[in-house]
Amino acid sequence: MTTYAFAAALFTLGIAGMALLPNLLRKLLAMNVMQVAVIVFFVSLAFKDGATVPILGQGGAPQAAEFMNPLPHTLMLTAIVVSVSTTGLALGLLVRIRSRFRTLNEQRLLDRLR
Amino acid sequence: MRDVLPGLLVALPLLGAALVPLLAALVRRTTRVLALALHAAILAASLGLFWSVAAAGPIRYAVGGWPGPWGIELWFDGLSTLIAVLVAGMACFASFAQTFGPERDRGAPASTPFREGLLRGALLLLVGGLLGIVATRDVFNLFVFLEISSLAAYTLVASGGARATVAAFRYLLAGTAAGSLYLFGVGFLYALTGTLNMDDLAARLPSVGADAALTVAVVLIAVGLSIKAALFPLHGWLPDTYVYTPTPAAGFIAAVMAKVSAYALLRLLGEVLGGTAAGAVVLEITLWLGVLGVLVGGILAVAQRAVTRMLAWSSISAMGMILIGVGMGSALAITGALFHMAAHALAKGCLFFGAGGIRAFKDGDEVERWAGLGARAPWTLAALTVAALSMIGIPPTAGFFSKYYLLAASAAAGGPSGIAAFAAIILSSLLATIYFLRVLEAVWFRTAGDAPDAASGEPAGRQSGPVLPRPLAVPVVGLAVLILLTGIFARPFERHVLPDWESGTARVSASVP
Repeated sequence: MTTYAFAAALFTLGIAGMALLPNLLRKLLAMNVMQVAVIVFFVSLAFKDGATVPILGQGGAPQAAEFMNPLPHTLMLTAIVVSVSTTGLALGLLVRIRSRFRTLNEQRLLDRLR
Repeated sequence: MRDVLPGLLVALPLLGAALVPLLAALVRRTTRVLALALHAAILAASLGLFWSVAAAGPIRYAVGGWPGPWGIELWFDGLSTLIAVLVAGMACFASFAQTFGPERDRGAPASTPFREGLLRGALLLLVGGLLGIVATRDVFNLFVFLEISSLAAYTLVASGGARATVAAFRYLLAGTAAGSLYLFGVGFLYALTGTLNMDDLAARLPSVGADAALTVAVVLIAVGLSIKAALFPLHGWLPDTYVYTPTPAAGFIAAVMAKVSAYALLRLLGEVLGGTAAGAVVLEITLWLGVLGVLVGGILAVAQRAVTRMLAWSSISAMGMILIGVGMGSALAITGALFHMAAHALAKGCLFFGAGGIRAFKDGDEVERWAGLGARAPWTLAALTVAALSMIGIPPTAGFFSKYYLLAASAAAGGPSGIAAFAAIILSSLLATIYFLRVLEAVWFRTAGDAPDAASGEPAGRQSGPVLPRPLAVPVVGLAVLILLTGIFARPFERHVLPDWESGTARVSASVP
C-alpha cells in the first residue's frame, strides 16, 4: 500500500514539475520522475515477500506460489527502453533549442518566438 | 493471404523505417522510389485485409504463433481495417508530398539525401506505429505502438526548423505525459484482472465489480488517450505542432494522428471498459467535453488570421465532434464518428498540403495572401474549395454525411446531452462557414492587388512558377476527388462498418432508426 501511495505521489510530483518548472531541462527531468513512478508501480505490483525468480530449480514440482510474477518486470524493461529513447530525443531537441535561442527558459523562449 | 497480411501490415513499415535511411546513406538516388513503393505495398496490404474482412469476416492473428490471452494478438474487423486503409492511404500522399522538402518551409535547414532518407524513415515508422495501434489487441502493446508513433512524429515535427523544435519539445512533454498516464491505468487494469488482452479484459471485468481501483484505471486511460486525441481541454499541444510541422508531415499528422488515438479511445472505453460503471460515466463526460471542444475550437478558428492556425483550431473542433460520437456510443453515433474520422482526415490532409504549399509560395499564410489565387491556379484551388466545403458539411462531400449521421444519432439519443450535441454540430457548421468563406472569398472574389502587402510594398513572396508544386498539387487534387467519392458512396461504407461493430464485444445496443 505504501509503495502504491509512493508511486502516486512521485507521479503527481513529476506532472506538477512538468507543468510548473520554468526551465525546459527541468521539465524533462520532471518527466523522467513521472516515468519512473509508473515503473515503481509496476515493479511493486509484482513484488512478493519471500518469493523467488520463476526459474525451475533442481527437483521438485514448480510451486506457483513461490514465484514472483515476471510479466510486470518484462513490461517495464520495454517501458524503460521507451523512456530512454524519449529522453534521448528530448535532449537532442533541447541542444538544438539552446544553440538557436540561447535559452531554455520557457517564458523567454515564447517571448522570442513572438 | 489472410494468415500473412496481418503480420505484414505492421512489419513492413517498421522494416522500411530501418531500411530507407540505411539505403539513403549508401545508394542515394533510390530513396524516393523505394519509400513510395513501400507505402504503396502497405496500402495494398491494408486494402487486401479490408476486402478479406468484408468478404470472410474478422481476422484474429497471433503474433509469433502465441495465442491470446498470453501472446499478443492482432485483430482486424471492419473498424480497424477501415482506419488502417485511411492511415496507409494518407501515408502514400504524404510520402509523395515529402519530395517537397522541409527547407521550403521557412526556417528549416537545407535537405541532404541522407536527411531526406531519415525523414522518409520517420514517416514509415509513424505509419508502422499507427497501424500497430489500430491492429493490436493487447493494451501494453498499444502503449508501445503509441510511443513508437509519437517518437516518429516528434522527429517529423522537429525537422521544420527552430520554431518547430520548440513545438516538438512541448508536444513531446504532452505526449509522454499522456503515454505515462495510459500506462499507469494499464497497471491498475493488470492488477485487477491479471490480463492485458482486450477480449480477456472485457470478459473478466464484470467479475471485478465497482472497485475504486477500476475507476482510477478508467480515468487514467481516458485522460491519457484524450491528450493524444486533443480532446478539449487537453488540446494544448495541437495548434503549434500543426502550424510549425513541415508541410508533408503536417498533412499526415493533422489528418490521422489524433484520430488513431480517438480510435484507441473508442476501442478501450467503448468496447472494453464501456460496460463498467466508471466507463459509462467517463463516456458521458467525453461527450460533454466533445461538445465544448466543438464550440471552442470553432470560435477560436474564426479568431485566427493565419490559415494554418485556423485549420489547427478547426481540427480541435473536429476531434470534439468525433469524441461526441464515441461518447454517445450508439451504432449510429459510432458510424458518424468513424465517417467523420475519414471525412475529416481527407479534407484536413488536403487543406494542410495546400495551405503549407501556399505558405511557402506567398512567404506567409495570412488570409489576405490567398487573394486572387483562384485565378492563378484554378484546379488546385478548386480542390481546396472542395475540401473546405466538406469541412463545412455541404453535400455531396464526405463531410455532409458524417455530420448527418452524428446529427441523426444526437436526435435519436435525446436528453440534454443529445440536444447539446445536436446544437453544437449545427453551430460548428455555421462557424466553419464563417472561417472558410473568409478564405474562399479572398481566393475567388478578390484580386492579388487588393492584398494590403502589395500596397505597402512588402515582398509578397515568389511570384513566378506554379502556386503548388507537383508534389503537393497531386495529393491535394487526389484527396479532393476522394472526398467527393467518399460522399457519393456513403451508404456502402455504413453497411460495411456497422455489422462488425455490433457482432463484436461492443456494448452497442441502441437500435438504428
